[in-house]
Amino acid sequence: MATPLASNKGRPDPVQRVGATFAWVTALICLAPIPLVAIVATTRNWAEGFWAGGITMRWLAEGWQQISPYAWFSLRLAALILVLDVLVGLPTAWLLARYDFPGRQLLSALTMVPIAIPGIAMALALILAYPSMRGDGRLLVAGHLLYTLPFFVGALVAPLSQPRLRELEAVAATLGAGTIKRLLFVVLPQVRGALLAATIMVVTLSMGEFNVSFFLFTPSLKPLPVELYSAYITGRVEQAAAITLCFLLFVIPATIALERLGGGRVGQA
Amino acid sequence: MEKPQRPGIWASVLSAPFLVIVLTLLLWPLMILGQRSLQPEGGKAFSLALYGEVVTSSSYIRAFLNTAVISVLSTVLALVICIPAAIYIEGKGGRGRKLLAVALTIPLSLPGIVIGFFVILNFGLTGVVPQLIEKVIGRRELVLAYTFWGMLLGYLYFQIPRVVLVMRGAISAISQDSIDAARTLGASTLRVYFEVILPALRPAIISASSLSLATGFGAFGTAATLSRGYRVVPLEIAAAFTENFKPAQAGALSLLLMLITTTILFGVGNRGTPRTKRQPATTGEGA
Amino acid sequence: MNKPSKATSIDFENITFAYPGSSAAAVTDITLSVRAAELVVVVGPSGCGKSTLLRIVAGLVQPSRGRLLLDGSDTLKLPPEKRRIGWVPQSYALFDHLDVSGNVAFGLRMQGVSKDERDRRVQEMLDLCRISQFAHRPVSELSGGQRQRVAIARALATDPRVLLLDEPLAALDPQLRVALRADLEALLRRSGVTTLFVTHDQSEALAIADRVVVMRDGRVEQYDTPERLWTQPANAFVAEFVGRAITLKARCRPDGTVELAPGLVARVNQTLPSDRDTVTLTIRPTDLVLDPEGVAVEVTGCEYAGGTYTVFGRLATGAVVSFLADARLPIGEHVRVGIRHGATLNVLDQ
Repeated sequence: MATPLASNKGRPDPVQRVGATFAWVTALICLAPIPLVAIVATTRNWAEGFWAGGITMRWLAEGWQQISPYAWFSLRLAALILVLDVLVGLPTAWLLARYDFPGRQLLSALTMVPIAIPGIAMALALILAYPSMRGDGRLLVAGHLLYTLPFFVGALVAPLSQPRLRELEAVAATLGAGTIKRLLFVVLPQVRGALLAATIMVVTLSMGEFNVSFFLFTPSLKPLPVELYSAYITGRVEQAAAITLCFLLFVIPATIALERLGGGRVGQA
Repeated sequence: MEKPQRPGIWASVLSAPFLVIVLTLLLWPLMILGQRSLQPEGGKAFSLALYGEVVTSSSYIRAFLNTAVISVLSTVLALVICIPAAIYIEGKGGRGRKLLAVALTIPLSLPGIVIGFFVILNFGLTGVVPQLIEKVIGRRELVLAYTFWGMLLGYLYFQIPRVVLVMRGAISAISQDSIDAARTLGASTLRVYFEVILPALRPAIISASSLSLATGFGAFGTAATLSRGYRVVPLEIAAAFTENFKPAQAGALSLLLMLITTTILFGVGNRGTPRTKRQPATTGEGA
Repeated sequence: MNKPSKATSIDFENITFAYPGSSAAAVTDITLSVRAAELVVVVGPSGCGKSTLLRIVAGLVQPSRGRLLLDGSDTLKLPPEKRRIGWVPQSYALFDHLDVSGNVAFGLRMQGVSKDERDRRVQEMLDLCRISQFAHRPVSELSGGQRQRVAIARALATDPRVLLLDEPLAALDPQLRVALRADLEALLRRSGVTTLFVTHDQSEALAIADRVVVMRDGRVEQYDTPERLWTQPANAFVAEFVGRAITLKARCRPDGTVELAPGLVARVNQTLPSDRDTVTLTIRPTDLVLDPEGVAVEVTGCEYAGGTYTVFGRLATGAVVSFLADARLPIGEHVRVGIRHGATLNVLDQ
């Protein structure tokens, strides 16, 4: 709707007005907690009010100390998941985008199945099926992989099946480019944007994943959100806020970048 | 190039990695889960005893009801808020609208526990709102964080961006021409909304609801952070497994929950999406 | 520019292709030959299979039957990257992640040509197509006509044996089309490459082609020079498609002329068959003129075409003909028309 009912002879559209109110209020409500977290994280004694007792960086410093090993672990895990997603998801996306074969609908539905399964159920199933793999973190990787694949594949199928791209490949073929060259010199440059968006999406999803990680982590292999959870349950609210702030600093810029890239498809646990 | 002559070979090669993953990491474990849930004593006998227990246990039944209530309520509220909001955002472009779009997307990447923490910050014992109220009337009120209403707020917080996203997509697909045609035929603004826009949004509303409901049912992090007595099924599953060491029972609960979420997503949700567009348009498995 | 050492001929033999999932064949039993360095235009209504024919030559589509010979050798087994063919699709399909030079150099890069040689050739192509000043521009900044020339330069850079152009002028503004058409033809002649040019615009076909293939529903209706297409259309479809001819039945007269209506007698371009009373003719607006001594027609329509009016009139027999006039004639008016002096009408073979 490029110009919805706004051209109403100057009389503002009533639904647009209501919509505007809802939109702004909701946006405010969605965003307000973030500066709030920053305030609480820098308050010496939150129980007594805003910045009661003075502003302090103590919680932030301590918080970062506390979580940095877990933050780095989460990043490394996310990188691993990304690689796995590319290895498994790219051929799948290519297959779904380019080929028609009996069972294609089934395959497409299969890529979406993990979304329908609550994380906790999946974690339980993995533990029961492979009890020995829990301790070395392989199940953790499996959980993350299962929950990022649908988005990775989904983000790539549409760009790869674009008729425009296929015409470019056809022209490249007539100009002498074999299959590999077409992939390298035409397909990859053209889906650059989608690949970047998919990458950011996978990293963000993995860094924020909690529902599965909560049952599959080990003390030495603990993702950041699990550590966040312990802080919420046991720590002071200022500490929890500081740690949350660190987490947000990781995650929010990526989300904004994703929305600017037109991604906007990040879903999270 | 047209589709190759022998898609069969390529289909097998390219799909192999994915199929291996799905079989070993998804289907096999789920089968094991199912199997264990049917063997209550760990023995060889298959029985539906555990399921029977679940279905007849009043606390489990309450948990299912609780989950349903909070999911449905948060979905409905999200729809009421997001449809007008999305209509506004998809209107004539402008910086304000773009900002709004980004603002409403940010919560998408936050895990449920962080959302729960936000609710605690706002409505907990030392929350912003109670503190402000204290300044006015002298004592802290509206400490909602650990009540049903606090949880509802949390659920709402993660439903909103998902619903907005789905609705925005559908709204941008409405053809301006059909709106203009309706107006030239004499429809007033309100009539246009009810007779042209909302009907066109019906599939998206169904799709958004199913997504939202399924996410609500499967939500764990938010519940784990905020719940003090309002038991939902994911919490019961966690309890059965980690506290009571009854994996079989946890399995039965899980399978029942999965049955519900899968039916919602693939059964109801598909009614809303046209055949060609079945993609994971939004969202992860829960908050 | 060097003409290619040897221009290539194309031979289609019984080429047939159907899209999977549809019972109608896209092209059926196409047999024709294109001579070396010839500019052949394939024309026809949408869906007639002309683009498919091009894709078959390019190797993007495999016919189910038939042979395709380039310079006498069977090429159907070769994939597109080995056929050395230049293909310009309707959308031009420029690589927007490369600038103009990058696009033109693409084929040379794929073939492993050395950088110096590549640069030389790219410059040559840019000069040939008169787009040198855009060498480093991103393609998004170019106009339609400029993109078209980049696409052609890119296709020609690899010294292809055959050039395939799919509606190259269709995406341009109508005003530009005629001007660019002449430029395009000049460019094609200069390059000397055998060219297959697809269009739905019959005036384009007549203007630039050495020979024209008229297609309908996957089959070739006529393959001839533009002049013969005009004066001797093979059937009613070709007659109407190429130049708005009308088909009429006329009575044969013993002296070899025909009578379209009582008093309207015309000469024809062949000997009348002896065993028939009537023949089917094609007649164009230019074959008739206002003639005070001619037969009566009732005006049923009048269109202004810039400078002249095309008038439609109904003969006493009920048949509707059209002719040109200098002034607007109101509908319902009765005027008289006769055959233009010297006009010869075309008899359609049965």
